[in-house]
Amino acid sequence: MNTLVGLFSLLLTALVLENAVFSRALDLTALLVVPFGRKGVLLFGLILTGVTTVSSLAATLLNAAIGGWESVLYVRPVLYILILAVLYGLVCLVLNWKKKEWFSSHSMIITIAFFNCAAYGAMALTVYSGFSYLESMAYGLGLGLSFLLAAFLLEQGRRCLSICNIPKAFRGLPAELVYVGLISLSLYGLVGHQLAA
Amino acid sequence: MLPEQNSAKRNLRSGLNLIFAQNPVLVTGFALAPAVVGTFTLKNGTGLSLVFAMVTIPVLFLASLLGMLPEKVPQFVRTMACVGLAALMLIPARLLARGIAPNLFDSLGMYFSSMALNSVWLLRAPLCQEKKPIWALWEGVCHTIGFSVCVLAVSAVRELLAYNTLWGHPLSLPAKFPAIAYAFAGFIAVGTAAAVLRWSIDRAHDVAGLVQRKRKKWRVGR
Amino acid sequence: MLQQGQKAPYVRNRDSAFTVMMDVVIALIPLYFMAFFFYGLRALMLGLASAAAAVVSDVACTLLEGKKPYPRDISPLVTGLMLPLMMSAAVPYYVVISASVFAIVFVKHVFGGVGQSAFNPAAAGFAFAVACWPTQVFSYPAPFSAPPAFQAVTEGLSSSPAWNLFQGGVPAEDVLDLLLGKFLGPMGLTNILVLATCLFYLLFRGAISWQAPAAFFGIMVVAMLLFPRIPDTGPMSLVYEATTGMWVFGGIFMLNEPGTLPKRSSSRLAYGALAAIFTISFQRFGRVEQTFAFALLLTNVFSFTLDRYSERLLRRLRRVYLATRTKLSEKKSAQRA
Repeated sequence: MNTLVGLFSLLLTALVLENAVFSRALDLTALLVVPFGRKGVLLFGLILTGVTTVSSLAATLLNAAIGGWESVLYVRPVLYILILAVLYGLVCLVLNWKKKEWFSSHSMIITIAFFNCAAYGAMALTVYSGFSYLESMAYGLGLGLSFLLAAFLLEQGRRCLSICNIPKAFRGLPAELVYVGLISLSLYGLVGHQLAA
Repeated sequence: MLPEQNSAKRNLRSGLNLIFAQNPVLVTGFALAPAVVGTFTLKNGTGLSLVFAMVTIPVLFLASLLGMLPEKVPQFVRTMACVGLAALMLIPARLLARGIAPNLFDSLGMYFSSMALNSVWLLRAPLCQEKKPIWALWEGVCHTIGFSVCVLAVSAVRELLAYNTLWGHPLSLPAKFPAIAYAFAGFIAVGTAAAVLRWSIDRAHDVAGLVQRKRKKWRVGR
Repeated sequence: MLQQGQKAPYVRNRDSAFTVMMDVVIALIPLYFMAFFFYGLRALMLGLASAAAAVVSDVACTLLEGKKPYPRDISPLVTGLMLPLMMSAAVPYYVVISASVFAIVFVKHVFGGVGQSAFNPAAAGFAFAVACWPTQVFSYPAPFSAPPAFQAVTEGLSSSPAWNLFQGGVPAEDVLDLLLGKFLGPMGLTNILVLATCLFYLLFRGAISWQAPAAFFGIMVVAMLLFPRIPDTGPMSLVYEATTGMWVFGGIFMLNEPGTLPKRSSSRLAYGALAAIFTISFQRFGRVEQTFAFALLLTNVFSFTLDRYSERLLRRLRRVYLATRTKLSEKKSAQRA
């Protein structure tokens, strides 16, 4: 029971307090720039959630395996990224084999979902915090879902911004960045003083 | 290979365009994450520019070389090769970063390594496969310059306001805003920088248009 | 948000943006009077500095956008006057000035100026000040200690009863002092009786609508009574929270800012309720002693959504109502036949 409560609180922490977008700006490009459309963002978020969950588990496993090495310091980030590349290759191979048409129309979304700061950040943060296997999965799940939460909030913001009389220089990306910044400021009331690591 | 992808004049001009009118951070919005959170001191900004250069230039070059492979090789295999090179480039980048400041890697945290997965090369690599290697290199250099200009400007302003220092040297300013170093101020700073850039590009266009019209008038008058 | 020009967000009878905003300024005057009574000239000077900074930056932004300044728009004055009231009387001048400049430039004008702001400028300005200088904003001088009007105040500052509550303790102040506002706290918000008068004045004048504050205060009061932050205090918990917290002032002045308030009355109820829920959860799980401003910023995100969904919901309900009514009347006519 305690473990479950602990996992749930960890998930909530990753979802709100350490929100991937608002406190670490992790997959901002996918959120603000890449023209996925609303369905595409949902799909992207779901794939990203899967990627962060699996990759943070993989990073924990890897860390247990290489923890004893001497010169691990410089190699670790490289290995994380290589794990992501291997996972990506496996998924692409399976999709290319089973669902070729779907894959060819969605290959961009899949590529960006695998190779972005959030997928790397999930691995680095779980290892940095020293989570167990279950905990790291919960954290990765929360981090992925937090992207969806941010996308939902930003969708509300976009509707509001679309009818505001924004000055010409701020229209589009700049106004959205300031909007995200002010949501991030509001979450400061929950998080308190800390610099993102 | 398409011939128009490789004409010298076109590539030179589009390269210069990449620095301002299509700045990788402020206009197209790729590579936003590190530019928002990592840029709270000038040293961090320099470090980010260094990793960006170390990763983006070789990877775009490699992408252009991979374009010479037969078409049977699927796209995801090429992407994997690029990711592998980007990951390996992190090691020399980290060694060089120690030369700038010993604690640079720690102060940037995961943003240092996540620069290897920036969306600039991820989205441009498929296009670079059509280009000659030399033009892919040129594009990488221009992306790097655009990224560095933006990141260095934002990080200098943020360091001045947040800590009243520049490259670690204390300067005396009337007020200190410690919160400028936090993430939310990063969003607002980058957003404002983007607005400023767009405003100045618009003004530059206005001036250029005015000059052109005057020249026309002068010609007609003669 | 949608409305162009100056009058639109507040169109009702002969009221204009000017009269509504003027009512808010009039309602703020008694708060400044209380602040002057407790802390002397410094309170007035802080208000003046903040208001001046807000008005100047508003004019500068308007000119920069290439528009003509509109002197009957006094909303920057309202923002500028609200900000210092929420802070300590000993706060340095640069804090209030930079908070109001931030509120006007980055919150109001980035999103298009008056009546169109996506976030409440005063709340964002206060949140910015707390993020930058939490010690200065939250260390208070004692009432009647007469802090010097222009020099920096560094001595005799301590934390407020709100900090005690935040730490899980019970405030040591006398109940009468709490009700009269004679305790360490933000310079204008301590006297709850004056605040209540302001609420009734604004409601009576029609400057604010009743829906959002009713839902907000209703949920806040019930939550404070049923789930007190400090166990075993019973109804006293409500007295502590209402007198020391910023939410009473916020629920009257900031929640009802016409630019960010939803336009439909049903969604205003939901908006007030949402603000209350966020305020309570920020209070329980947050790490800042005054959380209303932060909660309000998050609520503002949903303002537009609530309007949309309430419209859809009401349309659906109306359809169901009409369908059942026609069915019933058909049944009746069939029975008669």
